[in-house]
Amino acid sequence: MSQKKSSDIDLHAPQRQSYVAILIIIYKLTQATIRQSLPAIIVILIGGSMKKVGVIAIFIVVLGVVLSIYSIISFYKYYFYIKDDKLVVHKGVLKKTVLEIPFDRIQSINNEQNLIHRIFSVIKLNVDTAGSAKEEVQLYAIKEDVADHLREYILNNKKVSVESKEIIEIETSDKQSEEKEKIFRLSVLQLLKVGITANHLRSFGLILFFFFSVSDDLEEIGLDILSKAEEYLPVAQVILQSVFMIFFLGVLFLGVSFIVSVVSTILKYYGLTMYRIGDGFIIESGLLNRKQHAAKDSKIQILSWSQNLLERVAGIYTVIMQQASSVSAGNIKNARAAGLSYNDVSSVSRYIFEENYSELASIDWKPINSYYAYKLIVRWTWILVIPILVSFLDNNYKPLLFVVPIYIIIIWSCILRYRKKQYGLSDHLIAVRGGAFGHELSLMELHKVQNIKITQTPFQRRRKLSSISIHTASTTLYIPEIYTEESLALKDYLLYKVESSDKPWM
Amino acid sequence: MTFENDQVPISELPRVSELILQGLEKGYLSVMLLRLSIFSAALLLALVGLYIFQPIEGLPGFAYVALLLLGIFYIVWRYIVIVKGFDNKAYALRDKDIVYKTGWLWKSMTTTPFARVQHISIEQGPIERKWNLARLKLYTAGGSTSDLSIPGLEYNTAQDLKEFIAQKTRLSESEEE
Repeated sequence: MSQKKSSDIDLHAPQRQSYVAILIIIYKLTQATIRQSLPAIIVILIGGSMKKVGVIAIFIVVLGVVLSIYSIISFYKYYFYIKDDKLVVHKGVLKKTVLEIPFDRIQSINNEQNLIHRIFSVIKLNVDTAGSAKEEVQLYAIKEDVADHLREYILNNKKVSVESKEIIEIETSDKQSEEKEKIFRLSVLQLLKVGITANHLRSFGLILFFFFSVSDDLEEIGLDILSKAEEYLPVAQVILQSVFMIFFLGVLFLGVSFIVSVVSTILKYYGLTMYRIGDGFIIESGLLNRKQHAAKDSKIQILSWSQNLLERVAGIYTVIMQQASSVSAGNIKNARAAGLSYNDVSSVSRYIFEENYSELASIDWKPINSYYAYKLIVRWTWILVIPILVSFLDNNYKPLLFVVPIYIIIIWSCILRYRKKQYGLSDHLIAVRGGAFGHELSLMELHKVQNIKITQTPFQRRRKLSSISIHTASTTLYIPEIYTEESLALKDYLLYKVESSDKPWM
Repeated sequence: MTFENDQVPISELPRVSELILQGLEKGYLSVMLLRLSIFSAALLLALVGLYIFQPIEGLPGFAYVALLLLGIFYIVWRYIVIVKGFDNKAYALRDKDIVYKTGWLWKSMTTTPFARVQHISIEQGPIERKWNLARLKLYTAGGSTSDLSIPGLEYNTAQDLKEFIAQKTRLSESEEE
């Protein structure tokens, strides 16, 4: 079992990763350690007097030495080789583990290169299997030629169906880039657009959460931000003051979260390029950590594109390809790209749905029942009625300053959500539209349906309504609040389409 | 609101709703009631024990009574749901799919086309064995939330159904669990 070409690499002899892996293991360990002790570190940094500096320095040095030694040991304990159509990995410092992965079980081999990898020209190899996460192997850093050789060897010795072999080939054939066709590349200007239109609310929430979780610690060390601020404000204007505080903190948090999300989005989507190769896509992106996602047409179950409010203004879309990852469902893999124009979205859709895509233009959109809006509003009212009642009982009307505007926005968004929720059917496609202040559209071929479930609550029964869940091998399309008669007909139609089609769902 | 489709008028489609549904074996009601009774006995024992020993300091006596009443209310409610809901549990076998309906207040109806079944299994618990009942499970790639599970089948019926569906899906016998 010797390879004819590049015979200088013997995959059957146990070998370690490239020495660069030591750096990466140290980096990962340090990152994990810092993440675990982040609140403590912040408290020490802010509250620490000069006396403590020496102690902290010693602590950091000791910790650094321990982590480095651990990393080096774990590097030397980690080796891999090939034995009878199996990839064998030995690892573990205290607890030894031997992983044996038969080639046939390997679903895909993905490579990743971050900055360190690129400097030393090594590759991180992720070997995915159909089984549980425990059986997945990550080779943190191996030389490019070893990686190529290993991948090739596994591919050539895999005795499985042609189809899954193709998947691997798509995901790994970026080296021989002759048949690779570029569909879309994010320019610097577009990248900036994507950064500015990112979901700032999410990072806002994260920062707010972070602030609240740390503020207790800050208070303990005598740094009570809120009371400090109050000292500088005229005491008499109680309400004005709190409004000012809220406004000030709000602007501060919004500013910070805006910067955080812009920077993180730009890092994530830097140089985003989408290629068409064979019958699949490859999406590449990232500045510091360059990642490659592969999506094969047949594995894509649902294609969704969406616009948040800002993206609507900028006229760009985010596209998600919802994929079935393996036959034993479980880990779902989505390939995601942002900053696409409508034309880009159309060309992606045309690749996936081929001639069926033209049906979308003439689809007959059907609304859902207005009970949907009513139900959403009632739910939110229940959540908000408690703070309102409490503030009345307390004779404290300050909370109303928040609650009322929030309530108005929520009601508005519920109504918008109802009006945008629509579904449509054609000969080969089902589409569901949604969104509140933004837009969403999910498109699926009818033969991808796995299972259909109609549900009805007692409240829906009085109104002759029901909801329908259309399960696929990735996510579920959900159409709420349509007449039962209509959902039964929809179900019959879908079943007819699935059962009369002999196209495979994957 | 009706469907319109040029090629296949909805009126000509085979209708799931017009099926003659097959109820579950009466024995399954006993199985469920027995299961609930065992659970109820354990729960009541625990709650009465709490009331007698009152282990949490500072908690007033009526709190334990309230807990006990809540437990009794829950048990009674479960009995009502099981008895009332039993008649709503039914399935129907068609040439190309299988339908299972369940629920008394919160109703649901699941349909799985045989063409999408990945794996079939028959399960039987210790209480079910006494009544010679079994549960048929159909797994699709749609994830665990969408797997179809039909309880309260006579063991032989479950076997027959499995055989029938396996033939339709061309699954091999070796995939039996």
